[in-house]
Amino acid sequence: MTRLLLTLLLCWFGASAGVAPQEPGSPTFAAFDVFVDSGNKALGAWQFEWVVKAGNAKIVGVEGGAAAAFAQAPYYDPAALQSGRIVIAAFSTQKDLPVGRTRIARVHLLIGSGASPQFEVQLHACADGQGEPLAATVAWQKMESK
Amino acid sequence: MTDEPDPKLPPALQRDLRRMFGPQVRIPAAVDAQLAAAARRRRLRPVWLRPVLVAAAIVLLALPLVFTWLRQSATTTAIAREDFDRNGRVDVLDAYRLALALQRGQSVPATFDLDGDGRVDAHDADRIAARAVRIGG
Repeated sequence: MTRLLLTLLLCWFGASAGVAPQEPGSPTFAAFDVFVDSGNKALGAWQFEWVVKAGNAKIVGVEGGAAAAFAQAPYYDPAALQSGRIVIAAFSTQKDLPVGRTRIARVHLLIGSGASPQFEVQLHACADGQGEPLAATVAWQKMESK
Repeated sequence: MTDEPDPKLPPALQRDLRRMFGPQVRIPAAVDAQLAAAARRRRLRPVWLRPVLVAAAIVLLALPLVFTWLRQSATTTAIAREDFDRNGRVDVLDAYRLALALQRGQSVPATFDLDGDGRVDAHDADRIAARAVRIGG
C-alpha cells in the first residue's frame, strides 16, 4: 500500500514537472509545412517567399522537406531570420525526384501575443527534372505548437 | 654735296641716319605675292577645319554617349554575373540549370567561376542559389 502511494506521488510530481504552466500571452513556437504540387512531373527545383502579412510573428528556423532529394536544409538568407520575410529555395540533381504533392520545407515561427498572424506564400520559381519551368501550386499547413 | 657722311658726326649718329634715310631693301614681287597668298589662306580657313576645335567638339559630343554606355554596361554585368539562363533575373533556376549543365558535362563559360577558384563547379551553383534567396538584393 505504501509502495502504491509512493508510486502515485512520484507520477503526480513527474506530471507536474513535465507540463510547465503557460502564461497567457506568452510567445509560442509553431511549425508550418510548405507543400508543392508538381502534378505528374518530377520536381527538380523550387523557390518561394514566406511573408508575415499581419500579426506578431518572426521566422526563427527552416528545415528541409520530406523527399530525400530535398531533405537537406534549403537555401535561405540567415539575415532573414528573426524577421517577417524570407526567400527559401532548393534544387536537386538526383535521379529520384518527387512527383505530385510533396512537402518541400518546414518553416518555424515564434508567434507573439495578439491577433493571429497572417501569412502569404508565393512560389517564385519551379522546374522539373530537366530544368524546364513547371506550373505548380504551393500550399502551407500549420503542424504543431509547443 | 656728297653722300659721304660728315666726318665730324659721331659714328652712332651716322649709323642711325643711314638706317633711316639710306636705300630701302626691296622685296621681290614673287616673294611678296607668296606672303600675301599665305596670309589670305590662313585668314579664310574655316573654323571647322582647325584640328583642335574639331577634336574638342567630337569629345563634347561623345561624352554623353560614353557615359550612357558605361552605365548600361555596368548594369548588364551586375545582372549577367549570376543570371545563367539570361532571362534578366537571378533565381534558383539559374543555379539548377548550371548544376544540370555541369552534371551533363556541358561546357560552361568561365565567367560562371563565381568563387574565383579557377573552375566552374557545384560551389558556383551554390553561390547563385545563395544570391537568389538574399534579402534586400
